[in-house]
Amino acid sequence: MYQKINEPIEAVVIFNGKKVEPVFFKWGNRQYRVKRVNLVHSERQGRDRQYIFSVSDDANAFRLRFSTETLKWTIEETASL
Amino acid sequence: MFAHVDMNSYFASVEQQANPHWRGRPLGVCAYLHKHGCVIAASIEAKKLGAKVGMSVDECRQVCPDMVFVQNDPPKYRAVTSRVFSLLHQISDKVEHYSIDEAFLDLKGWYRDEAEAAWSLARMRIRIQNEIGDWLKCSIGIAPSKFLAKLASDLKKPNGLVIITSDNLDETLSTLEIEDACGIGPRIRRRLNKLGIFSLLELKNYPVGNLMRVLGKAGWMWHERLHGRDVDRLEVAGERPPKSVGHSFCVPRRANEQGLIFPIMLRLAERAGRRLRSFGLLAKSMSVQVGFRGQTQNPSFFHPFENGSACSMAFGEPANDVFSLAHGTTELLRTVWDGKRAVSFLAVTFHDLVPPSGQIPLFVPSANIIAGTPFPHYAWERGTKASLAVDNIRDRYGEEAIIFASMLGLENDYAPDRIGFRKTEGVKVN
Repeated sequence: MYQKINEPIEAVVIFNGKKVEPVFFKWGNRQYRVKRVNLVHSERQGRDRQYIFSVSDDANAFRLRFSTETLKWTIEETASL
Repeated sequence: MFAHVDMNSYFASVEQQANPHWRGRPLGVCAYLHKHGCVIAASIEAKKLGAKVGMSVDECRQVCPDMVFVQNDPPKYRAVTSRVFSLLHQISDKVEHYSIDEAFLDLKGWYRDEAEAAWSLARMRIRIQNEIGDWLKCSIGIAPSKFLAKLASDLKKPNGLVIITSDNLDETLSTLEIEDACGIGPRIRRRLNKLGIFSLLELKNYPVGNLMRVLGKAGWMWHERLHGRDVDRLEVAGERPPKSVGHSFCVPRRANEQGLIFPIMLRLAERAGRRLRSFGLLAKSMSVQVGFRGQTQNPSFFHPFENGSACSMAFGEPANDVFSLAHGTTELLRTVWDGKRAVSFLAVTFHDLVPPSGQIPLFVPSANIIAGTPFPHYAWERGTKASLAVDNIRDRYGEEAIIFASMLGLENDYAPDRIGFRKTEGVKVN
Protein backbone atom coordinates (compact mmCIF):
# COMPACT_ATOMS: atom_id res chain seq x y z
CA MET A 1 0.00 0.00 0.00
CA TYR A 2 1.26 3.44 -0.94
CA GLN A 3 0.39 6.64 0.96
CA LYS A 4 1.31 10.30 0.52
CA ILE A 5 1.66 11.90 3.93
CA ASN A 6 3.66 15.16 4.26
CA GLU A 7 3.73 15.37 8.05
CA PRO A 8 6.47 16.66 10.36
CA ILE A 9 8.51 14.07 12.24
CA GLU A 10 11.27 13.98 14.81
CA ALA A 11 14.41 12.16 13.72
CA VAL A 12 17.58 10.88 15.34
CA VAL A 13 20.57 10.85 12.97
CA ILE A 14 24.16 9.72 13.11
CA PHE A 15 27.08 11.47 11.45
CA ASN A 16 29.00 8.68 9.79
CA GLY A 17 32.14 10.15 8.21
CA LYS A 18 30.86 12.48 5.49
CA LYS A 19 27.37 10.99 5.62
CA VAL A 20 24.34 11.80 7.73
CA GLU A 21 21.95 8.90 8.23
CA PRO A 22 18.63 8.77 10.08
CA VAL A 23 18.48 5.86 12.53
CA PHE A 24 15.15 6.45 14.27
CA PHE A 25 12.18 8.67 13.65
CA LYS A 26 9.00 9.39 15.56
CA TRP A 27 5.81 9.77 13.57
CA GLY A 28 2.55 10.14 15.45
CA ASN A 29 2.95 8.19 18.65
CA ARG A 30 5.13 5.51 17.12
CA GLN A 31 8.85 5.20 16.86
CA TYR A 32 10.32 3.62 13.72
CA ARG A 33 13.79 2.17 13.49
CA VAL A 34 15.51 2.66 10.13
CA LYS A 35 17.05 -0.62 9.00
CA ARG A 36 18.51 0.64 5.71
CA VAL A 37 19.14 3.91 3.96
CA ASN A 38 18.54 2.88 0.35
CA LEU A 39 19.09 6.13 -1.53
CA VAL A 40 19.89 9.73 -0.69
CA HIS A 41 19.38 12.56 -3.14
CA SER A 42 18.85 16.28 -2.96
CA GLU A 43 16.53 18.82 -4.54
CA ARG A 44 16.59 22.59 -4.59
CA GLN A 45 13.55 24.71 -3.87
CA GLY A 46 14.88 28.19 -4.38
CA ARG A 47 17.95 28.49 -2.17
CA ASP A 48 16.69 25.75 0.15
CA ARG A 49 18.58 22.52 -0.50
CA GLN A 50 16.50 19.61 0.70
CA TYR A 51 17.82 16.10 1.24
CA ILE A 52 15.55 13.16 0.57
CA PHE A 53 16.28 9.89 2.33
CA SER A 54 14.62 6.76 0.96
CA VAL A 55 14.76 4.42 3.96
CA SER A 56 13.14 1.15 4.95
CA ASP A 57 12.54 -1.29 7.78
CA ASP A 58 11.46 -4.91 7.41
CA ALA A 59 7.90 -4.13 6.31
CA ASN A 60 7.77 -0.52 5.11
CA ALA A 61 9.63 1.95 2.92
CA PHE A 62 9.59 5.65 3.80
CA ARG A 63 10.59 8.85 2.08
CA LEU A 64 11.96 11.39 4.55
CA ARG A 65 12.84 14.99 3.67
CA PHE A 66 15.26 17.26 5.52
CA SER A 67 15.24 20.98 4.75
CA THR A 68 18.57 22.74 5.26
CA GLU A 69 16.72 26.09 5.43
CA THR A 70 14.27 25.24 8.21
CA LEU A 71 16.27 22.29 9.66
CA LYS A 72 13.02 20.31 9.84
CA TRP A 73 12.23 16.70 8.96
CA THR A 74 9.10 15.61 7.12
CA ILE A 75 7.76 12.19 6.20
CA GLU A 76 6.43 12.39 2.66
CA GLU A 77 5.48 8.90 1.61
CA THR A 78 5.20 5.42 2.92
CA ALA A 79 4.85 2.17 1.01
CA SER A 80 4.28 -1.21 2.59
CA LEU A 81 4.14 -4.73 1.28
CA MET B 1 39.55 3.34 -27.72
CA PHE B 2 36.05 4.22 -26.50
CA ALA B 3 33.68 2.89 -23.87
CA HIS B 4 29.92 3.14 -23.62
CA VAL B 5 28.22 2.81 -20.25
CA ASP B 6 24.48 2.16 -20.28
CA MET B 7 22.46 1.96 -17.06
CA ASN B 8 19.98 -0.94 -17.33
CA SER B 9 16.23 -0.20 -16.91
CA TYR B 10 17.41 2.99 -15.31
CA PHE B 11 14.37 4.80 -13.86
CA ALA B 12 12.83 1.52 -12.68
CA SER B 13 16.12 0.40 -11.09
CA VAL B 14 16.44 3.72 -9.24
CA GLU B 15 12.89 3.30 -7.90
CA GLN B 16 13.69 -0.27 -6.84
CA GLN B 17 16.84 1.03 -5.19
CA ALA B 18 14.79 3.56 -3.20
CA ASN B 19 12.18 0.99 -2.19
CA PRO B 20 13.61 -2.51 -1.58
CA HIS B 21 10.10 -4.04 -1.41
CA TRP B 22 9.77 -3.43 -5.18
CA ARG B 23 12.97 -5.33 -5.98
CA GLY B 24 12.45 -8.50 -7.92
CA ARG B 25 8.90 -7.42 -8.82
CA PRO B 26 7.65 -6.08 -12.15
CA LEU B 27 7.62 -2.29 -11.90
CA GLY B 28 6.71 0.43 -14.39
CA VAL B 29 7.68 4.09 -14.14
CA CYS B 30 4.97 6.21 -15.77
CA ALA B 31 4.78 9.71 -17.11
CA TYR B 32 1.32 9.99 -15.51
CA LEU B 33 -0.41 7.56 -13.14
CA HIS B 34 -3.46 7.09 -15.34
CA LYS B 35 -4.73 4.08 -17.26
CA HIS B 36 -3.65 5.79 -20.50
CA GLY B 37 -0.36 7.01 -18.95
CA CYS B 38 2.72 5.92 -20.87
CA VAL B 39 5.27 3.62 -19.20
CA ILE B 40 8.64 5.32 -19.73
CA ALA B 41 10.70 2.63 -18.00
CA ALA B 42 10.03 -0.98 -17.11
CA SER B 43 12.04 -3.02 -14.64
CA ILE B 44 14.07 -6.02 -15.81
CA GLU B 45 11.43 -8.33 -14.25
CA ALA B 46 8.60 -6.54 -16.12
CA LYS B 47 10.48 -6.77 -19.42
CA LYS B 48 10.87 -10.52 -18.92
CA LEU B 49 7.08 -10.79 -18.61
CA GLY B 50 6.49 -8.87 -21.84
CA ALA B 51 5.99 -5.28 -20.65
CA LYS B 52 7.70 -2.76 -22.89
CA VAL B 53 8.60 0.91 -22.71
CA GLY B 54 5.93 2.93 -24.53
CA MET B 55 2.99 0.73 -23.52
CA SER B 56 0.12 2.31 -21.59
CA VAL B 57 -0.61 1.33 -17.97
CA ASP B 58 -3.68 -0.61 -19.16
CA GLU B 59 -1.68 -2.55 -21.77
CA CYS B 60 0.99 -3.43 -19.19
CA ARG B 61 -1.68 -4.67 -16.76
CA GLN B 62 -2.97 -7.03 -19.44
CA VAL B 63 0.42 -8.73 -19.93
CA CYS B 64 1.48 -8.42 -16.32
CA PRO B 65 -1.41 -8.13 -13.80
CA ASP B 66 0.87 -7.86 -10.73
CA MET B 67 2.86 -4.94 -12.09
CA VAL B 68 3.42 -1.98 -9.75
CA PHE B 69 3.29 1.53 -11.25
CA VAL B 70 4.97 4.65 -9.90
CA GLN B 71 5.10 8.20 -11.21
CA ASN B 72 8.47 9.41 -12.45
CA ASP B 73 10.58 11.53 -10.11
CA PRO B 74 13.00 13.61 -12.26
CA PRO B 75 15.10 15.16 -9.41
CA LYS B 76 15.83 11.65 -8.10
CA TYR B 77 17.07 10.39 -11.48
CA ARG B 78 19.14 13.53 -12.10
CA ALA B 79 20.77 13.21 -8.67
CA VAL B 80 21.69 9.55 -9.27
CA THR B 81 22.95 10.34 -12.79
CA SER B 82 25.12 13.14 -11.36
CA ARG B 83 26.76 10.68 -8.99
CA VAL B 84 27.25 8.02 -11.69
CA PHE B 85 28.73 10.53 -14.14
CA SER B 86 31.00 11.91 -11.39
CA LEU B 87 32.51 8.42 -11.08
CA LEU B 88 32.92 8.19 -14.87
CA HIS B 89 34.79 11.50 -14.91
CA GLN B 90 37.40 9.87 -12.65
CA ILE B 91 38.18 7.36 -15.41
CA SER B 92 38.64 9.72 -18.35
CA ASP B 93 38.85 13.46 -18.99
CA LYS B 94 36.57 13.20 -22.02
CA VAL B 95 33.07 12.02 -21.14
CA GLU B 96 30.04 12.60 -23.34
CA HIS B 97 26.75 12.75 -21.40
CA TYR B 98 24.81 11.06 -24.18
CA SER B 99 21.56 10.79 -22.23
CA ILE B 100 20.26 10.62 -18.68
CA ASP B 101 21.40 6.98 -18.44
CA GLU B 102 24.18 6.64 -21.00
CA ALA B 103 27.68 8.06 -21.42
CA PHE B 104 30.58 7.64 -23.82
CA LEU B 105 34.16 7.76 -22.58
CA ASP B 106 37.19 8.49 -24.72
CA LEU B 107 39.87 6.25 -23.18
CA LYS B 108 42.67 7.22 -25.56
CA GLY B 109 45.93 7.66 -23.67
CA TRP B 110 44.53 6.41 -20.36
CA TYR B 111 44.85 2.65 -20.75
CA ARG B 112 47.37 0.44 -22.55
CA ASP B 113 44.84 -2.02 -23.90
CA GLU B 114 41.21 -3.16 -23.73
CA ALA B 115 41.88 -5.52 -20.82
CA GLU B 116 43.20 -2.72 -18.64
CA ALA B 117 40.23 -0.49 -19.57
CA ALA B 118 37.82 -3.36 -18.83
CA TRP B 119 39.40 -3.86 -15.41
CA SER B 120 39.01 -0.16 -14.59
CA LEU B 121 35.41 -0.01 -15.81
CA ALA B 122 34.50 -3.17 -13.89
CA ARG B 123 35.87 -1.52 -10.75
CA MET B 124 33.82 1.57 -11.53
CA ARG B 125 30.71 -0.63 -11.74
CA ILE B 126 31.46 -2.06 -8.31
CA ARG B 127 31.86 1.50 -6.99
CA ILE B 128 28.43 2.43 -8.42
CA GLN B 129 26.91 -0.48 -6.52
CA ASN B 130 28.82 0.22 -3.29
CA GLU B 131 28.58 4.00 -3.20
CA ILE B 132 25.29 4.80 -4.96
CA GLY B 133 23.03 1.77 -4.91
CA ASP B 134 23.46 -1.99 -4.93
CA TRP B 135 20.45 -2.50 -7.23
CA LEU B 136 21.85 -0.31 -10.02
CA LYS B 137 23.22 -2.27 -12.96
CA CYS B 138 25.05 -1.12 -16.05
CA SER B 139 26.23 -2.62 -19.32
CA ILE B 140 29.64 -1.67 -20.61
CA GLY B 141 30.95 -1.82 -24.16
CA ILE B 142 34.58 -1.23 -25.15
CA ALA B 143 35.58 -0.81 -28.80
CA PRO B 144 37.77 1.22 -31.17
CA SER B 145 34.91 3.62 -32.04
CA LYS B 146 31.85 5.17 -30.40
CA PHE B 147 29.46 3.31 -32.66
CA LEU B 148 30.97 -0.11 -31.93
CA ALA B 149 31.18 0.67 -28.19
CA LYS B 150 27.42 1.32 -28.14
CA LEU B 151 26.79 -1.82 -30.17
CA ALA B 152 28.93 -3.80 -27.69
CA SER B 153 27.10 -2.51 -24.61
CA ASP B 154 23.76 -3.54 -26.15
CA LEU B 155 24.93 -7.13 -26.66
CA LYS B 156 24.75 -8.29 -23.07
CA LYS B 157 22.15 -6.94 -20.66
CA PRO B 158 21.92 -6.58 -17.72
CA ASN B 159 25.38 -6.03 -16.19
CA GLY B 160 27.33 -7.12 -19.28
CA LEU B 161 30.85 -6.19 -20.33
CA VAL B 162 31.65 -6.78 -24.00
CA ILE B 163 34.86 -5.89 -25.83
CA ILE B 164 34.94 -5.58 -29.60
CA THR B 165 38.36 -5.61 -31.27
CA SER B 166 39.46 -6.04 -34.89
CA ASP B 167 39.86 -9.78 -34.12
CA ASN B 168 36.25 -10.45 -33.13
CA LEU B 169 34.55 -7.68 -35.15
CA ASP B 170 33.38 -9.88 -38.05
CA GLU B 171 32.24 -12.64 -35.73
CA THR B 172 30.18 -10.13 -33.67
CA LEU B 173 28.64 -8.42 -36.71
CA SER B 174 27.62 -11.73 -38.30
CA THR B 175 25.25 -12.41 -35.39
CA LEU B 176 23.48 -9.06 -35.65
CA GLU B 177 20.63 -7.88 -37.82
CA ILE B 178 20.72 -4.53 -39.59
CA GLU B 179 18.28 -2.83 -37.23
CA ASP B 180 20.45 -3.73 -34.22
CA ALA B 181 22.69 -0.82 -35.23
CA CYS B 182 21.82 2.48 -33.56
CA GLY B 183 20.66 4.79 -36.36
CA ILE B 184 19.24 2.19 -38.74
CA GLY B 185 15.45 2.00 -38.72
CA PRO B 186 12.86 0.23 -40.88
CA ARG B 187 13.23 2.66 -43.82
CA ILE B 188 17.01 2.24 -44.24
CA ARG B 189 16.66 -1.50 -43.60
CA ARG B 190 14.19 -1.81 -46.47
CA ARG B 191 16.56 0.06 -48.80
CA LEU B 192 19.47 -2.13 -47.74
CA ASN B 193 17.39 -5.31 -48.11
CA LYS B 194 16.77 -4.33 -51.76
CA LEU B 195 20.56 -4.36 -52.22
CA GLY B 196 20.69 -7.89 -50.79
CA ILE B 197 22.09 -6.78 -47.42
CA PHE B 198 20.51 -8.60 -44.48
CA SER B 199 23.16 -8.51 -41.72
CA LEU B 200 25.65 -5.99 -40.40
CA LEU B 201 28.54 -8.13 -41.67
CA GLU B 202 27.09 -7.99 -45.20
CA LEU B 203 26.77 -4.21 -44.84
CA LYS B 204 30.41 -4.01 -43.72
CA ASN B 205 31.64 -6.00 -46.72
CA TYR B 206 29.46 -4.18 -49.30
CA PRO B 207 31.50 -1.99 -51.71
CA VAL B 208 31.54 1.55 -50.33
CA GLY B 209 31.02 3.17 -53.76
CA ASN B 210 27.78 1.28 -54.33
CA LEU B 211 26.64 2.08 -50.82
CA MET B 212 27.28 5.80 -51.37
CA ARG B 213 25.24 5.72 -54.57
CA VAL B 214 22.23 4.54 -52.53
CA LEU B 215 22.67 6.32 -49.19
CA GLY B 216 24.97 9.22 -50.12
CA LYS B 217 27.37 10.43 -47.43
CA ALA B 218 25.57 8.26 -44.87
CA GLY B 219 26.69 5.20 -46.88
CA TRP B 220 30.34 6.16 -46.38
CA MET B 221 29.70 6.82 -42.69
CA TRP B 222 28.16 3.37 -42.18
CA HIS B 223 31.08 1.76 -44.04
CA GLU B 224 33.61 3.53 -41.80
CA ARG B 225 31.66 2.82 -38.59
CA LEU B 226 31.42 -0.90 -39.33
CA HIS B 227 35.17 -1.04 -40.04
CA GLY B 228 35.80 0.32 -36.54
CA ARG B 229 36.99 3.74 -37.69
CA ASP B 230 35.92 6.65 -35.54
CA VAL B 231 33.77 9.05 -37.54
CA ASP B 232 31.40 10.16 -34.76
CA ARG B 233 32.70 13.08 -32.75
CA LEU B 234 32.64 12.74 -28.97
CA GLU B 235 30.71 15.72 -27.64
CA VAL B 236 32.04 16.69 -24.24
CA ALA B 237 29.33 17.95 -21.84
CA GLY B 238 28.26 21.55 -22.47
CA GLU B 239 30.33 21.87 -25.64
CA ARG B 240 27.42 22.23 -28.04
CA PRO B 241 24.49 24.53 -27.21
CA PRO B 242 20.96 23.19 -27.73
CA LYS B 243 19.19 23.76 -31.05
CA SER B 244 15.81 24.30 -29.44
CA VAL B 245 14.23 24.39 -26.00
CA GLY B 246 10.63 23.39 -25.31
CA HIS B 247 8.15 21.84 -22.94
CA SER B 248 5.00 19.82 -23.56
CA PHE B 249 2.09 18.42 -21.58
CA CYS B 250 -0.78 15.98 -22.19
CA VAL B 251 -3.81 17.91 -20.95
CA PRO B 252 -6.33 15.93 -18.86
CA ARG B 253 -10.09 16.29 -19.44
CA ARG B 254 -10.65 18.13 -16.13
CA ALA B 255 -8.27 20.96 -17.18
CA ASN B 256 -10.58 21.69 -20.14
CA GLU B 257 -13.62 21.67 -17.90
CA GLN B 258 -11.94 24.10 -15.47
CA GLY B 259 -10.73 26.44 -18.25
CA LEU B 260 -7.04 25.99 -17.46
CA ILE B 261 -5.63 25.88 -21.01
CA PHE B 262 -4.10 29.38 -20.99
CA PRO B 263 -2.55 29.04 -17.50
CA ILE B 264 -1.06 25.65 -18.45
CA MET B 265 0.34 27.10 -21.67
CA LEU B 266 1.89 29.95 -19.70
CA ARG B 267 3.50 27.51 -17.29
CA LEU B 268 4.98 25.59 -20.23
CA ALA B 269 6.40 28.86 -21.62
CA GLU B 270 7.75 29.77 -18.18
CA ARG B 271 9.48 26.41 -17.73
CA ALA B 272 10.99 26.45 -21.22
CA GLY B 273 11.95 30.14 -20.80
CA ARG B 274 13.80 29.43 -17.56
CA ARG B 275 15.82 26.72 -19.29
CA LEU B 276 16.47 29.02 -22.26
CA ARG B 277 17.82 31.75 -19.95
CA SER B 278 19.90 29.19 -18.00
CA PHE B 279 21.75 28.45 -21.27
CA GLY B 280 22.31 32.21 -21.74
CA LEU B 281 20.65 32.06 -25.16
CA LEU B 282 18.01 34.08 -26.98
CA ALA B 283 15.33 32.68 -29.30
CA LYS B 284 14.81 34.13 -32.76
CA SER B 285 11.54 32.27 -33.24
CA MET B 286 9.01 30.16 -31.40
CA SER B 287 6.15 27.78 -32.09
CA VAL B 288 3.11 26.44 -30.28
CA GLN B 289 1.53 23.05 -30.94
CA VAL B 290 -1.98 22.08 -29.86
CA GLY B 291 -3.58 18.63 -30.11
CA PHE B 292 -7.33 18.24 -29.87
CA ARG B 293 -9.45 15.49 -28.33
CA GLY B 294 -10.68 12.91 -30.78
CA GLN B 295 -7.44 12.84 -32.75
CA THR B 296 -5.48 9.62 -32.82
CA GLN B 297 -2.09 11.36 -32.64
CA ASN B 298 -0.76 14.59 -31.21
CA PRO B 299 1.28 17.02 -33.33
CA SER B 300 4.96 16.25 -33.01
CA PHE B 301 8.07 18.41 -33.21
CA PHE B 302 8.95 16.85 -36.58
CA HIS B 303 5.43 17.08 -38.04
CA PRO B 304 3.92 20.04 -36.21
CA PHE B 305 1.22 20.78 -38.74
CA GLU B 306 -0.17 17.24 -38.80
CA ASN B 307 -2.65 15.84 -36.27
CA GLY B 308 -3.65 19.15 -34.74
CA SER B 309 -2.79 22.80 -35.00
CA ALA B 310 0.53 24.54 -34.83
CA CYS B 311 1.68 28.07 -35.37
CA SER B 312 5.08 29.69 -35.33
CA MET B 313 6.43 33.22 -35.41
CA ALA B 314 9.71 35.10 -35.45
CA PHE B 315 10.64 37.68 -32.84
CA GLY B 316 11.65 41.07 -34.27
CA GLU B 317 14.72 40.89 -32.04
CA PRO B 318 15.93 37.64 -30.41
CA ALA B 319 14.29 37.41 -27.00
CA ASN B 320 14.41 35.37 -23.82
CA ASP B 321 12.67 37.64 -21.32
CA VAL B 322 9.59 36.41 -19.45
CA PHE B 323 7.23 38.95 -21.01
CA SER B 324 8.13 38.48 -24.69
CA LEU B 325 7.97 34.69 -24.38
CA ALA B 326 4.66 34.71 -22.46
CA HIS B 327 3.12 37.25 -24.82
CA GLY B 328 4.24 35.35 -27.92
CA THR B 329 2.90 32.09 -26.46
CA THR B 330 -0.56 33.41 -25.64
CA GLU B 331 -0.87 35.19 -29.01
CA LEU B 332 0.04 32.02 -30.87
CA LEU B 333 -2.37 29.96 -28.77
CA ARG B 334 -5.16 32.43 -29.62
CA THR B 335 -4.31 31.96 -33.31
CA VAL B 336 -4.57 28.16 -33.29
CA TRP B 337 -7.30 27.58 -30.69
CA ASP B 338 -10.82 28.96 -30.74
CA GLY B 339 -11.25 28.61 -26.97
CA LYS B 340 -13.99 25.98 -27.33
CA ARG B 341 -12.50 22.74 -28.67
CA ALA B 342 -11.31 20.29 -26.04
CA VAL B 343 -7.50 20.25 -25.95
CA SER B 344 -5.50 17.08 -25.31
CA PHE B 345 -1.92 18.25 -25.85
CA LEU B 346 0.04 21.50 -25.53
CA ALA B 347 3.64 22.26 -26.42
CA VAL B 348 5.82 25.30 -26.81
CA THR B 349 9.23 25.36 -28.51
CA PHE B 350 11.81 28.12 -28.85
CA HIS B 351 13.97 27.75 -31.97
CA ASP B 352 16.94 29.40 -33.72
CA LEU B 353 18.83 29.99 -30.50
CA VAL B 354 21.62 32.56 -30.52
CA PRO B 355 23.91 34.06 -27.87
CA PRO B 356 23.26 37.72 -26.97
CA SER B 357 24.94 40.14 -29.37
CA GLY B 358 25.36 42.82 -26.68
CA GLN B 359 23.85 45.38 -29.07
CA ILE B 360 21.01 47.54 -27.68
CA PRO B 361 18.53 48.21 -30.48
CA LEU B 362 17.15 51.73 -30.97
CA PHE B 363 13.66 50.52 -31.78
CA VAL B 364 12.45 47.03 -30.97
CA PRO B 365 9.32 45.60 -32.47
CA SER B 366 7.11 44.79 -29.51
CA ALA B 367 6.71 41.24 -28.31
CA ASN B 368 3.38 41.31 -30.09
CA ILE B 369 4.94 40.69 -33.49
CA ILE B 370 1.52 39.95 -34.93
CA ALA B 371 0.41 43.52 -34.28
CA GLY B 372 3.92 44.73 -35.20
CA THR B 373 3.93 47.89 -33.07
CA PRO B 374 7.48 49.12 -32.39
CA PHE B 375 8.39 50.43 -28.95
CA PRO B 376 11.52 52.25 -27.75
CA HIS B 377 14.60 50.51 -26.41
CA TYR B 378 14.12 51.66 -22.80
CA ALA B 379 10.91 49.62 -22.60
CA TRP B 380 12.80 46.59 -23.91
CA GLU B 381 15.56 47.20 -21.36
CA ARG B 382 13.02 47.46 -18.54
CA GLY B 383 11.46 44.16 -19.62
CA THR B 384 14.86 42.44 -19.62
CA LYS B 385 15.73 43.78 -16.16
CA ALA B 386 12.35 42.79 -14.73
CA SER B 387 12.83 39.31 -16.20
CA LEU B 388 16.22 39.05 -14.48
CA ALA B 389 14.64 40.12 -11.19
CA VAL B 390 11.93 37.45 -11.60
CA ASP B 391 14.63 34.80 -12.12
CA ASN B 392 16.49 35.99 -9.02
CA ILE B 393 13.33 35.70 -6.93
CA ARG B 394 12.75 32.16 -8.24
CA ASP B 395 16.36 31.16 -7.58
CA ARG B 396 15.91 32.26 -4.01
CA TYR B 397 12.36 31.28 -3.12
CA GLY B 398 11.39 28.58 -5.63
CA GLU B 399 9.80 28.34 -9.07
CA GLU B 400 6.29 29.24 -7.95
CA ALA B 401 7.32 32.21 -5.78
CA ILE B 402 6.40 34.69 -8.52
CA ILE B 403 3.97 33.82 -11.30
CA PHE B 404 1.52 35.41 -13.72
CA ALA B 405 -1.80 36.19 -12.05
CA SER B 406 -3.68 33.86 -14.42
CA MET B 407 -1.57 30.94 -13.10
CA LEU B 408 -2.75 31.45 -9.50
CA GLY B 409 -4.14 28.27 -8.02
CA LEU B 410 -2.81 26.07 -10.84
CA GLU B 411 -1.98 22.71 -9.28
CA ASN B 412 1.58 21.39 -9.41
CA ASP B 413 0.61 18.32 -11.42
CA TYR B 414 -0.24 20.48 -14.46
CA ALA B 415 2.86 20.76 -16.68
CA PRO B 416 5.27 19.34 -14.07
CA ASP B 417 9.05 19.01 -14.32
CA ARG B 418 9.79 16.47 -17.05
CA ILE B 419 12.75 14.30 -17.86
CA GLY B 420 13.84 13.37 -21.36
CA PHE B 421 16.11 10.45 -22.18
CA ARG B 422 18.41 12.62 -24.31
CA LYS B 423 18.32 15.54 -21.88
CA THR B 424 21.13 15.83 -19.37
CA GLU B 425 20.42 19.37 -18.16
CA GLY B 426 20.54 19.65 -14.39
CA VAL B 427 23.02 16.78 -14.19
CA LYS B 428 26.00 18.22 -12.32
CA VAL B 429 29.35 16.51 -12.05
CA ASN B 430 31.70 16.92 -9.07
